[in-house]
Parts: sequence; structure tokens; C-alpha cells
Amino acid sequence: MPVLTLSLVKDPSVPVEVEAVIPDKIAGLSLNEVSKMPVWVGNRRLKLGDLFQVEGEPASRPEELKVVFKGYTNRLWRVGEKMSSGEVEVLGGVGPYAGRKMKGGKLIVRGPAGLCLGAKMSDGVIEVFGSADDRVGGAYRGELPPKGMKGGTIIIHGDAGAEVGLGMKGGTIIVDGSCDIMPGLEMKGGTILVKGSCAGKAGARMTGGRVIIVGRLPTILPSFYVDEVRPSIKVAGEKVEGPLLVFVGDAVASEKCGGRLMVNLKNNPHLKKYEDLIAGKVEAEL
Amino acid sequence: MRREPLIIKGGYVIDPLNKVDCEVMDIGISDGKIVDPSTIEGKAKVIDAKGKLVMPGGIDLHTHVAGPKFNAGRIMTPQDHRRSLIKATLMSRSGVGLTVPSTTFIGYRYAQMGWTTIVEPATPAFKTRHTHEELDDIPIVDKACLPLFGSSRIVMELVSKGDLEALKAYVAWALKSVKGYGIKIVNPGASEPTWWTRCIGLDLDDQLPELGITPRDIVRALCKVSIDLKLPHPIHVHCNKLGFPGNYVSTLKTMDCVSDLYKGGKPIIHITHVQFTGYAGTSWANLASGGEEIAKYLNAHEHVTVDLGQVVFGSILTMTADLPFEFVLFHIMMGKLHGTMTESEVTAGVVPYAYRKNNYVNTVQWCIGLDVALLAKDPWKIVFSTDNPNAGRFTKYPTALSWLVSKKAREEVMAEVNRRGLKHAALPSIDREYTLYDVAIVTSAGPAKLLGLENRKGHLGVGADADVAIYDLNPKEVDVSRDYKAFVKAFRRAYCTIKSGVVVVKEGKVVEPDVYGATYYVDATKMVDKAVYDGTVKRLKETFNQYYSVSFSNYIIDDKELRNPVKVEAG
Repeated sequence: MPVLTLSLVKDPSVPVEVEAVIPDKIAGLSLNEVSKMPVWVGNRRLKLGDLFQVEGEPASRPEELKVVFKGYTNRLWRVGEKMSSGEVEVLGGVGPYAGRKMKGGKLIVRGPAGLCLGAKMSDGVIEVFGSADDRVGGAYRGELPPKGMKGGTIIIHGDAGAEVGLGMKGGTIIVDGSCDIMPGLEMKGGTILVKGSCAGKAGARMTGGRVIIVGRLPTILPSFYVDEVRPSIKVAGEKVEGPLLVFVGDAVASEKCGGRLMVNLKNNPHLKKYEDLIAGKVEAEL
Repeated sequence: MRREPLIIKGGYVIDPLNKVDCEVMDIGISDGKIVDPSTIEGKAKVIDAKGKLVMPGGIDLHTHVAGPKFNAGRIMTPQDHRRSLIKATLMSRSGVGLTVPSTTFIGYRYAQMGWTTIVEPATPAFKTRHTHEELDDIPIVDKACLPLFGSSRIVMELVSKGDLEALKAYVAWALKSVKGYGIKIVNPGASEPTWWTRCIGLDLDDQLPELGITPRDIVRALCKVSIDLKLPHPIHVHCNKLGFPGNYVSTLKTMDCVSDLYKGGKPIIHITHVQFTGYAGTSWANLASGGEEIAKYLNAHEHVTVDLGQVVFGSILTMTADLPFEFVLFHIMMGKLHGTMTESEVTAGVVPYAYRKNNYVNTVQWCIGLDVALLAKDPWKIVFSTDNPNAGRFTKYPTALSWLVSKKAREEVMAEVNRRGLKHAALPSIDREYTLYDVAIVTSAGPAKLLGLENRKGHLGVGADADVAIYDLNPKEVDVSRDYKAFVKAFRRAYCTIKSGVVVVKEGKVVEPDVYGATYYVDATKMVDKAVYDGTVKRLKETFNQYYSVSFSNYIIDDKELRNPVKVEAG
């Protein structure tokens, strides 16, 4: 696979918007042409070559090309925005809006990711080896659901911030670490798997889709009803061992209660009362 | 600011208040006023308006542009702001917003369309200081605001006691204190019993709890007050049961409940956004247009005027001082709701909404406004508005006006909307088209007369304020009913807008952004007996902390707090 490396050797101290640097736009260009591409640095419009050291071999077709960012990558905003094929790898962290509106291809981040990772993406794969900030795979602030992620996969090997999958409609988000409050806020479809713990309010205002919390969840929102206990489930071909308590909701958002919130019972002994409720051992408090 | 004398030469002038219809005339402007052009001949700068349309600047009688609920709307719609960044230039300030734009953008866009006066029609008297702060920041246009009285606890108690003299004194005091221009009544009486109306709406003859009065009593009492105080603008009523199917009956009852108070002369009641209160039918499933009945009533009676609240398809934000209805709408939309209760005065709510062409209800709503406008024979009884931003954004005015002037424009929309909805309205069978003269009536001369500002606004006679809009449209060559696109293009960006004798817009671009218009308010205290007035204010001062969390002296807004206040004496 031909690799094109862009190294940011000097700290620009302001955000650098690299939405133009995706395989779809670079494929077929020579190195010289690539270094003449425009890029916004703060409020100035510069050429890519002024800022980055551009090395490697360009490819003629986007799906064959791999773009690698190096150096002070924390300053990069909108990495891999609207990319539809090929691969982008960042050797370090990225700023906000990485993989926004992504339509395909692969984005790998070997460090932490900023706000709105994979916002509104429709297909493709994002893998983050650090932690991610708020609103992974989410919609923008204020938009009515479902304007979030439509498809594709986001895998975060670290922790995630608040509101994972805000208003999402499809696709899969897997968080290996823990997450902050309100995963699956206003979601309408898709799956969120949090292997660590969650700070609370999981699935608030959800009307569809699944939120699975393997670790500890302090409380269940009062607008969720307990449904059943399942021994295990499958998420993206991967088996999640249970037993899992399944809740339906959110009754506040829709009386149909289309959303499913699943919580591992082993790691949440304080939710035992719900299991007793299903078994008929205790009466519901009204 | 350059206030050099100007002469607008050779334009086709339309000036309904002076009965000028498309005549080639010169108009002279000196020191912010219209003057006889022969007096300034030679020393004045000439604006060549040959083959262009010259009209008095537009007056928007009902547009929500400032105040606490408008700000709540701004907070609620960050997604709108993201889509609509307006960059600062050397000439003008930056801004954001589609449905709830920045204050600067409101002024610029109104001026760019040739509108020069706007009225914020619903501001809680208690929070009017905020409204004035925002109005002061809107550049170019002249402003006024109407405080809400319809659900105020003080008003309801005075009506319940039957103490009309004290009510007169209170209204005069409140208007002067908060610098308001007239009486706005929103869903009279409904603020407090919001939760026991059980989402069916309070009707005109429903009893209010504890007080022993009905909304009818409130409307009648405030109408009497407005007549006795000789306020320049009649009571501005948002009817009961707004937004519920079958509410056109309530609207007709509201119009009729003050008909016996009419003694000739100016209209005594203004029904606002009549589209929202003109629904026939019994449920959302069989909603129909009640526009025909309302137009019939308008044709038969002289005491009432209406503004349209014409629907323009697209996404909007509904904001009204009618929380019960917003609560119902929120449960239809299941999106966002902002609701607030302002001390003892009023409740208000904000809910985002979208009018869609394929929707049955939205199609009927679109038809109602046009039904009323086209079936009412006298355009002086109609004021054009979209109740910005409730039924459509004010930037869509040219499109909405094109439906009035051109049947072809209507038919093109009718081809796209819901078929079943069209069957429940009179619109498809209406052939009437407004002339440009009628357009000038519904957009400037009519509202000026209704605001009682016909001496200074809405016409181009000698002595009027020099608020002039010049549109690049030759009325003798272009037939707007066939070529409505030319009409929309011309009205979307005025060729030239003159505000108080200053050229503020040239060829659609704002060239003089740092002009600030006046804020009009009414002083009616002289119309009340001195002893009654002093007694009422004294009693109010003593009991003020029962109603409000602020002190009496903090409630009153001083003249100095406004950028450019202009007092209008009642009577």
C-alpha cells in the first residue's frame, strides 16, 4: 500500500484544519501538487507544504492510499472528514471532529481523540487507541434526533466522554474503557457497547437501539421498565457474557419503549432487586 | 451619518394614503422629512429612480424580534446558528441565525427588503427592560413594543372588581412605565388555569377560577380602556383556543364581543395571526379552513382588522406567550420545549416546528391565511405578516407576498402540496390577485394607520418621515401576476432604502449600518383623571411586593435607558 506521510514538525499553536487531506482528494496528485493544497491554520490560509513535511509515494486510486500524520497532531481538526475510501492513520492524538461525516474507509488514531469523533458518520471504521472526548458518533448540539451516526463502526480502546452516540440512528460504538454520563442520549437505533463502567443516566430519552453496559451503572433512570434476564448477547459478531438485565424505555420519550438498555448483573449487585422483581419474589413499589 | 437633501427622480410612486397609484413623481427629502422637491432643487443629490417602483418603507405590525422568549429561542437552536454564519465586514457587524437571528442581522435584513418599522408584539411588561435593550441594538429600523395585559393578575383582579377607572389608570401607568405602545392580549385569562384546561384550550366564555370572570370580560374591559384612553393602536388580540381545530368560532365570538362598543371611526380591535385561529373542523384529521367565514365577517363589519400570520413552508420556531398551546404542540412534536411563567403576568413557551408541503394540516394552514387575505374585499382591514418566526421567517416575505399578487405563484405551490388539504379550503377557486397598490396598503399604509402613525409613517406626502423603499421593478412593463419571480427578486433586495433621509441600502447592500431608529411609546396618563391615577399608583406601590419580586421603582424604565425614545401622546 503506498503511504503518504505528513509530519507537523513545528507546533503551530493554533488549530490546523486538514479536512482536505483525505485519500479521495489526494489520489492521483503528485507530491508537489499535494504540498500546494490549501489548509487553514488559525485564521490564515496556507499551503500544506508550508506547514508539513510531505513524504512518500502518492497513489492513483484512493482505496490504495494510506495517509499518515505525524508530529504535533493534537492540533489537527477535522481529520478524515467526509472520506469515503482508503486509510488515514494519525500517530498521536487528534482534535475535534475527526472522521466527521465519514462515508467509508478506515481512520486510525494512536492517541486520544477530541470532541465529536465520527459525528454523523454513515459508514467506515474508526479505531482510537486512546480515549475520546464527548459526543462520540453524535449529532451537533441542538439537533433533533436522529441526526447522529447512521452506520459504520467506532472502536475506542480507552475511555469515552459524555453523550456517546447522541441521536444516533445506526452503526456500532464499542468502548473498551468506561464512559461518562448519558450514553445513547436520544438514540433511535444502533448499538453502544461500554465494557467498562458508566457514570449514569444511560439511554436517556432513547426510542430505539441498544445500550449495553458491562461494568457498573449506579442507577437506572425511573422511566425504564425491566423486561427480562438474558444469559448472553452478540454485538458485531462478539459474544458478551451475562447474565444481562434488559430494560425497555425510555417511557418519557416514547410510550412504545423501543429502546433496550442492558446491564451486566454480575458487576451490578445493587440491581438485584430488578431480578427479584422479574422472578416475582418482590412486589413492585407503586 | 450623511443627511444631505435628496431627490428621488422619475420613479413610479405608489402611496395609498395620498391616493397616488403608480404616477411618475419626484420626491424631495430634507432633514429626515419628505419635502416639496421644488424647494431643494439644485442643492440636492439626485437618486435616479427612472423605471423603478417607489413605495413608503414597509411596516411590520407583528414580528417577534426581541425579548426574553426570543432569547430563549436563540439558546434552543444552536444547530441553526451553525448553518448560518454571517461574517463581519468593514461596514457591518457579524451575526448568526435563521429563525432567531442576531439583532444586527434583523435590522440589516429588514432594511435590505425595504422595511423600516417593526413592532415587537408580545413582551411581558415585567421583562420589557430586556426587550428594549434588544430593540435598541437593532440597527436602522424604527421600533415599538406591545406589553402583555391579557393574563396579568392585576388586570384580572381589577376586571373582577369592575373597577374600570382604576384599570384605565393602571394601563396608562404601565404603558408609560415600561415604554409600551399598546395593549396586547394573548389568550386572555389562560395563564393561571393553564393546567386545568386539559389541553383543550380555554374558550371565550369559560369561567376563570376564583375571579368569577370570563375571557370575554377581560377583552371587553381592555377594549373599553383602549377606547377611553384614545390609544393610537387598538387592542391587539391573540384569540382564545389558538391552535385548536374548530377555533374560528372563538375568533368570530372575540371579534363580535366588542362590536357594540364601536362608535365609528378607527377600528377598535385587531385580531392577530388570524391563520392560527381560523381552523374549522373538529379534529386534526378533518381540519378545514375557516378563512371564508372570517373574511365574511370582516366584509360586514368595520370595527375589526386582522393580520395574516401567513404560513411559509420550512422549519421555524414557534414562540408565543401562550404556554398551554405550546405544551400541546410539544406533545405533538416531542422535540424541545421552553416554558416560562413571568411572575404574575404571563406564561410563554417556545417549540421548534416545521411546515411541510406534503402534510395535510400544514397545507390547510397555508391556505387559511391566503383565504382571508383574498376573500376580504377591503385591503385596509388586512395587515400582511407571517408572525415571524411562528409561521415563517421574515426573510421570506417576498415569497409570501408573491402568493397574494400572483395566482400563478399560488398554483405552482398548490401543485406540490397535499391534495386532500386543498379540498378543505376556498383557495383553489379564488382568482383574485392583489395589485401593487394593494401590496403597499397591506405592508405599509394600512399598518401605519392602525398604529396611529399615519401622519409620519406609511406615506410619502410632505411632512412624513423620509422612510422610502425603491424597488427595481417597472410596474408599467412587468406584469407581476405573470412574472412573479421578478416581483420576488425585486422585493427580496430593495434597489435603495432610505431611512430618516439617510440612504441605508444601495442595490441590496447595507451601506450605512450605524443608523439607529427611534423607539415609539405611548403616554396616555393625561387621559386619566389625576386623582384616580395618583390613587391607583399609590395603591399599586403599596401592594407591589405581593405581585412581583422586584421593587416598584425598579419596574419603571426611564427615558434615559432607551437609545432614542419618541413619546406619542394619546388622544
